[in-house]
Amino acid sequence: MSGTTSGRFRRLFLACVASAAAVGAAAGAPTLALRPSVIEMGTFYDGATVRISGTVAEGSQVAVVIRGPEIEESFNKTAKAGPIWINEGKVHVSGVPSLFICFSSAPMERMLNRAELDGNQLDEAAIRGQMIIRPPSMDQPIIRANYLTLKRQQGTFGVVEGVVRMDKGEAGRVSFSLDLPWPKRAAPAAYQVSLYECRDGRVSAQVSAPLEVREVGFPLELARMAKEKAALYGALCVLIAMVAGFGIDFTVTKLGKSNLAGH
Amino acid sequence: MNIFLPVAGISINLFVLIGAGALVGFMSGMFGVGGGFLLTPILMMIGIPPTVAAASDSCQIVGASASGAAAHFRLGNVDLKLGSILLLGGLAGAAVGVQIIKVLRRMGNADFVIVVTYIVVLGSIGTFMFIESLQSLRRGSMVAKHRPEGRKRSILSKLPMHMEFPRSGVQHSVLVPFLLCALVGILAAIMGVGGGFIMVPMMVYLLRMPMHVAVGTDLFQILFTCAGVTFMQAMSNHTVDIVLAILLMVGSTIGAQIGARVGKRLRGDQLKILLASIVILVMVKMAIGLVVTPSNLLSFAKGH
Repeated sequence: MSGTTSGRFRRLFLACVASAAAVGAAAGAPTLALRPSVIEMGTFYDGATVRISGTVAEGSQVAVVIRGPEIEESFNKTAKAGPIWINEGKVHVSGVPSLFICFSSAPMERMLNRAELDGNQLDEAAIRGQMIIRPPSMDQPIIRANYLTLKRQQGTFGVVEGVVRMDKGEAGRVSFSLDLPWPKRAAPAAYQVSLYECRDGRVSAQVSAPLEVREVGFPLELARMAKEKAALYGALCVLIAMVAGFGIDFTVTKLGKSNLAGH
Repeated sequence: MNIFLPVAGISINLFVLIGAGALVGFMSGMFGVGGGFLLTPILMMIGIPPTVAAASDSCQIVGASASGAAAHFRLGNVDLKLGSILLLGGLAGAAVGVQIIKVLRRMGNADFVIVVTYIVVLGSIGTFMFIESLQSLRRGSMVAKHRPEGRKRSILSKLPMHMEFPRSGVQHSVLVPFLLCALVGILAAIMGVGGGFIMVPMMVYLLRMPMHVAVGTDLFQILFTCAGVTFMQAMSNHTVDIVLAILLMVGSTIGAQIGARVGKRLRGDQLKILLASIVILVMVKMAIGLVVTPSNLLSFAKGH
């Protein structure tokens, strides 16, 4: 009898431990991994593919956002004066990331409510709302729309829905993955990759990881010289250009003469 | 095959850059124009930041004009004496032009003045060159060959400090090329370009230089003007991308060589009518741009 009772207790204890572990896993923080987490731009850099993967609680949807550092950008603004379009002056835009690309496992508006999208700066409307435009007298809605169009053309703004792959779950967790072809024209900077676990219209958890894009080798040395030894760099540029010009002329002339001699 | 541009901070196909350089170099060698008014927009179109495009363009023009000027020098088309005076006049004019732009910017109407100057200058030069070349082509001979020896002395010819320029076959007061080139320098500074497409017609029509010598001499003075601009841009804005400039140069120096040879095969009138057509096309494009609603009211700010 006692043996049977102790066996029941043991089974009950093990069942409690197992369910507690599953809940714990289900409620656990999402995980995020980047491979590679550093992109090195050497002389023949030809872009890179970043594997973004991780796990979220089962039943959740996922949004992965890559953000660049916030910098103030300046633009020329065109306006109509009588029958012609002329430059009205400079517009300065700040308060938004220099690069914003969002990938999701489902349409963003189905995954999250408006307050969550705005609060976490997760879609075009949210980005529009958070822009700071100087001078404030400029036509705000048009500038906001035109700014995003310009960034989209540049490849530094985009929202791509339904592309994050969700795999089968295990112990209350599901894994996801995304192969991100890193934009070749994105400048070297410290980027932030953020994972938003979305459930019931809200962000239930969030985790971020840095993605460093840096110059290495010859490009790094040259960029450093251009900034730190500007006079030397400038003189070198002129000298190289002149030598290249005269050198090519010399080569072409020599080739022309040898061709004539050949005939 | 892609290459990373360290100052621009982006990766771009090698052959696209060389091709863009070759196209502009061809024009440079053929007409003696720097091609800045064409190459900077092309570079911006392929994704180079505007400030880097403009500064690196100046650097590649140094290479292209060195190559073109050397080719023209061997062909006997560079008037060093006149070119040096033009260079001094151009630099003085550019310095005045930069100050004018500063004043206009403070008054808030610089951009309007720039665009209108472009249209008026390009329109006038292009139309005049086109009509004159067409008439000359119809006659079947160059106007310069039939210049009357005993033509009336203009007010300009009465100025002091006369000098003979044997390479160009003309005689002028030193003040004439200096002042005319200073005027072109002012216009070039206001318009933000090298000024080759103003300088060449000015040399042909006002200084009475033969077209081929005008092209060679213009390349000679562009070489020094752009060398100065490149150095200043590298010093103050750090926007010269030497890798980008070298790739453009590879294309443009080869293009300039071909352009110089093709130009030599064409008659002066044919060259003039081709250049006039390009100038008129650029003017028409600018005029259309003034009245057509732009697709985007914002554009990346570019230093002037």
